[in-house]
Amino acid sequence: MKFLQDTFLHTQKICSWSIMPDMQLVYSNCPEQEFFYNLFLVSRCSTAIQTHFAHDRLPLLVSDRTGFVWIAVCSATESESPSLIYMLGPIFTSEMTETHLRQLCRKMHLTSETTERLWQFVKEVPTISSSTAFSYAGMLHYCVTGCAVTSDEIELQIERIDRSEDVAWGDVSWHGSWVTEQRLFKSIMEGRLEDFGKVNTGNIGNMSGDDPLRQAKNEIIVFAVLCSRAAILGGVSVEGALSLSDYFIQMAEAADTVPEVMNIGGEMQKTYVQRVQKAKAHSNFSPLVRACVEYVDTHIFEKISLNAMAQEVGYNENYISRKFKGETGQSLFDYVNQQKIQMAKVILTDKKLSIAEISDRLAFSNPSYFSSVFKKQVGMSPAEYQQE
Amino acid sequence: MKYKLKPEIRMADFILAVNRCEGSVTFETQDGDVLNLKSELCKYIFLAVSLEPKYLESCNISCSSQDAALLTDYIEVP
Repeated sequence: MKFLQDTFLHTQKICSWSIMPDMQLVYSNCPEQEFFYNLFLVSRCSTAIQTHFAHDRLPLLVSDRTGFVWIAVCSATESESPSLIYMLGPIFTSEMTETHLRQLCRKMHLTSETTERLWQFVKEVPTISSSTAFSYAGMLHYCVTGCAVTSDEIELQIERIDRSEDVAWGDVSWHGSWVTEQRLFKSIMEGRLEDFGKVNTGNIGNMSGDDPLRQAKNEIIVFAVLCSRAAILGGVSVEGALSLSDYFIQMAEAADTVPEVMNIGGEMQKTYVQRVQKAKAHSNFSPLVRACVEYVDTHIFEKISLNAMAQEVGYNENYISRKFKGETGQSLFDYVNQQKIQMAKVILTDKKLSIAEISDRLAFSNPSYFSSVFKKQVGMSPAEYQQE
Repeated sequence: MKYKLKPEIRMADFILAVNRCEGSVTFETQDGDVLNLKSELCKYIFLAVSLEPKYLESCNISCSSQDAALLTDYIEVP
């Protein structure tokens, strides 16, 4: 462990920390230990780490509003109480430039002498890509527990931010994204979920001056364009692929942190791959029936009306109903309910949600109707299924 | 009301105590900088500044007397 910690410090300038579950410091090799330990304690990251390891043993990447990111892993197994938490950090996943920090401080009318006092510490914080941060979390977890994890298992915790205190950003002038884009494009077109370490499109180039959140959102827009075109080539309908990109772009626009935008990107990649897989599985159906299937997927959390679907796919209601039943042997109404129940089974794994909430989320008219449809299809009530 | 920080206090504990205050708590430097200690970035700047005890001596904490009562372990309350 000491060797790994020294390696991180001397090759990447990343400091290591060992803390007790109550956040008492046991060990650190950080040259500016007092400042960064205090910064960690007063930031939301310490509370997030404490809460996470109270019930979870998988690694965590957590950021505060300013953009400081901490990687944390726990030495205990599921059945043991957490004994020691190992951390790497702080790091930035978007470089904090002196210009950006000074801009933030100017907004607060601070003198340059005061800003300089913070910059002396901030300039020592290394910047690494988010995918590298995920790899380091995996390495540290393996070193501590002897168990391997994939980046999907590593939790990325979001802190909602106040836009006046935006996150960090750097001058990226090298466009290294071409190879990554090609891999991404091909994986979506073929319906393969490749591990890009959440979302990493490579260094895509500076599109938004000194605003890192805007840069992340712009990257997601580029990413959405790539994903949608790849999905169309993979067999997803044009309307379905474009609606999906609109949906994720709007979600990204509403996000308040860079990690939150990254998570949305990861979710978007997964969704596109699933859509392509589904389109390939339904390749023997006509384009019209495939468009109906996609419509149901896109609107699964809404009340699905035959009229709205008919308008979107451009045929009348009777025709699409007949065509759908003729090709699939199942009525559209039954298909919609079947897909909603499939989704309900996934949501029911979250034991904190009530049946009424799940019914509401899937836009059933009331919980008792949801329960009766569920029971008819699954053979047990949603409550019984949730207990299993 | 303006108060002086006590010497040799744990700054992280002070900030955590500030979080429990109802009103605004600010840190004011002799250069005229005012840090709102409930803002994340200001907390970090305060932590950086507080590593220079000599400089800290010339600075004040400003808060209501009700909030000052919650901070008596950290500030000199007359």
